[in-house]
Amino acid sequence: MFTRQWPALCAWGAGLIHLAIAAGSSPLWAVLLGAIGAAELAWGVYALRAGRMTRPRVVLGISLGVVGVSVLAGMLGSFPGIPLAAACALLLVIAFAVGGVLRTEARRSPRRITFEASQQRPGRTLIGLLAGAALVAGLTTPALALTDAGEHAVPHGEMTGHSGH
Amino acid sequence: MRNSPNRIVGVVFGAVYLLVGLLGFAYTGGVGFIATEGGLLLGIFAVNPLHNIAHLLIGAALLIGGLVSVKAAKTINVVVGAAYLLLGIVGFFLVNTAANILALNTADHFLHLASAIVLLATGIAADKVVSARSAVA
Repeated sequence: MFTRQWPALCAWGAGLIHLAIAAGSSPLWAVLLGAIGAAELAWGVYALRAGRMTRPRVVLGISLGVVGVSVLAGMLGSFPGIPLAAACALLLVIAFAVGGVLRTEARRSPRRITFEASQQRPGRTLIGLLAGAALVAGLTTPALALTDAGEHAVPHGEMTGHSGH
Repeated sequence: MRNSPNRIVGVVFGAVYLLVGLLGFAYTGGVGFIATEGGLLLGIFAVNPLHNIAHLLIGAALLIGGLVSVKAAKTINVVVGAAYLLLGIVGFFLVNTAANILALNTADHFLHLASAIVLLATGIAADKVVSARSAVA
């Protein structure tokens, strides 16, 4: 399927959001969320390099665990809700994909989610990549803008045609 | 070349970024070279002359890599993708400061992040087995 690489892309999006939230957090939350964000970015690279979904049960447990931590952070800390929700949504995409792998394994018809781009159908793979990248970027960019780091950014949309004199 | 996702991505993205770099100069007349607020390319993407030049250089690198070989395309896709990802992260901390020398706005971040994801994912996941023959095919 052309969506096979999406879990890795979603991990990158969630990682960026968690890192941005960590940047505006207290030291304890900064360390926790920063570590989660870095781990998500690293897993995305690992998954793409591996070319398949390895240790699906571990990935499922960790992704749902991180969703739990994110919800807990939203309840206990004064974190922006929408970025956390966006990160959770991206993590749930990963969990959903892993669930599909486990369900297939349970039916004893092994099928691995393959992240590797097909040499036979590069066009289809690239369309999937472009669509996945657009979705992840579309979800991640506004979420980043709503974090503390993003709030300190330029008043978006106030730029004008030739105002840079 | 048609069988290599990295070469296809390199050529397509390279051509698009070259075009964007050239078009950008039509919107940056009177804008300072490193002005923190630029002209709006297509009414959306903020650019200044330095940003246009960066687009031209990146587009040229991607296009050349895509035209030369699979290995070159793969390497340049990963390098440019990583640079864009870094820009996406660092950019959020730079805007609204004098350090925003590329006049980045939210639309730029979206484009850079999407480009980073496509370039990095293609570079990492595709064309893992590059034989000497296919490297120049």
